[in-house]
Amino acid sequence: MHSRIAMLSALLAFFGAQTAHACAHQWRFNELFTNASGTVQFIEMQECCGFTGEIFVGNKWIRSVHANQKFTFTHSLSGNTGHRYLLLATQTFANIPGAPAPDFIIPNGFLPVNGDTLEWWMYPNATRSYPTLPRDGTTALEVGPGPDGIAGTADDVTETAVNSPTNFAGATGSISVSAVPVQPTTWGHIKTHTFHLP
Amino acid sequence: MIMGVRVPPALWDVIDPGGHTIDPDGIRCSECLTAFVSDGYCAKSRIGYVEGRAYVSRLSYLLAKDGQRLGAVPDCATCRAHLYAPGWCDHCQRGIVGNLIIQNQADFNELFRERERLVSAVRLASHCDLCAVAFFTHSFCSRCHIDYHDTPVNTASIR
Repeated sequence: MHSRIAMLSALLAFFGAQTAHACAHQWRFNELFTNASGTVQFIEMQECCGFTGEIFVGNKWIRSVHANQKFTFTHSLSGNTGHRYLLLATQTFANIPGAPAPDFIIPNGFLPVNGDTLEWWMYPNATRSYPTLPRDGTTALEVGPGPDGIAGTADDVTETAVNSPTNFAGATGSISVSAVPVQPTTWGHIKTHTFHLP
Repeated sequence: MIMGVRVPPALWDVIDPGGHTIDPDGIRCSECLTAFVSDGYCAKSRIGYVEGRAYVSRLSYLLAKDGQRLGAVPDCATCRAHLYAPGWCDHCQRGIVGNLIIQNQADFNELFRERERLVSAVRLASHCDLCAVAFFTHSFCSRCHIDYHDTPVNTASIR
């Protein structure tokens, strides 16, 4: 009798309903950009392998391992994800006229400029180390996983190129922040003060 | 539950036994294309394909390829015993692991080893979910700074 009850319990456990969980395995880091001060930054990710339903990014995170900074995705996506891009960028980037709208806003300086390792949630195939980033205001670091779709393998891309941020909707562009002049605040203050002298 | 093992959500997500829909035109890896048409596994991209669906872990691929759900309590006493402890039945020429029947012995042996690893990973999950994932996937836990690349399963601790 006891053995029958035990077997029934075991079978109930085995045949019990399986919980569906939301996945987003196949996003990979693809392009990293920063300006000298870290106020204009973006991280572009791309679905590597033609998976069409990698939409459940909400509440998952990316993390810079050594700097120990984490950004949690605020919402999931909708639509076909195969080879699409995701753009995470600072608000200062978003404010640049003509820049593609970021899908997610990250804090200024989120991306360590002297190299680090980025993790995409707990997906080990996405973990990517990168060297010091270019800071000339136009050049980005390409860090795609190569044809195998696995980061951290021999065919990884690590090369500099003119930045080309692309968002989930497919909007793309290129920014240049090197030519932005420093605002002459001191001079302006003196000038204003001068004009207000009686 | 995966093979009779209750798996925490993070580990479940990484193993992902349900598989994924995929656009065949979007496959860029040549080995993946071969695997896609032959229900094979691409070791380079770590993706297996079964009947047009993609599986992102070796375990989920093997389960999809070979696992048949056990419909009823087996008549065979050996098979019944394997409901509690996975094993191969020489008489019925099939393995039983969890609620699944595996007909191919080589695949069963591999699944058996994967299950042992899974049990150990689940135990680790009570301390650190990242460690559990890193152990199961032979990778690195950046939270605890432990490298699990070549960590063997301690089979003595597995029932």
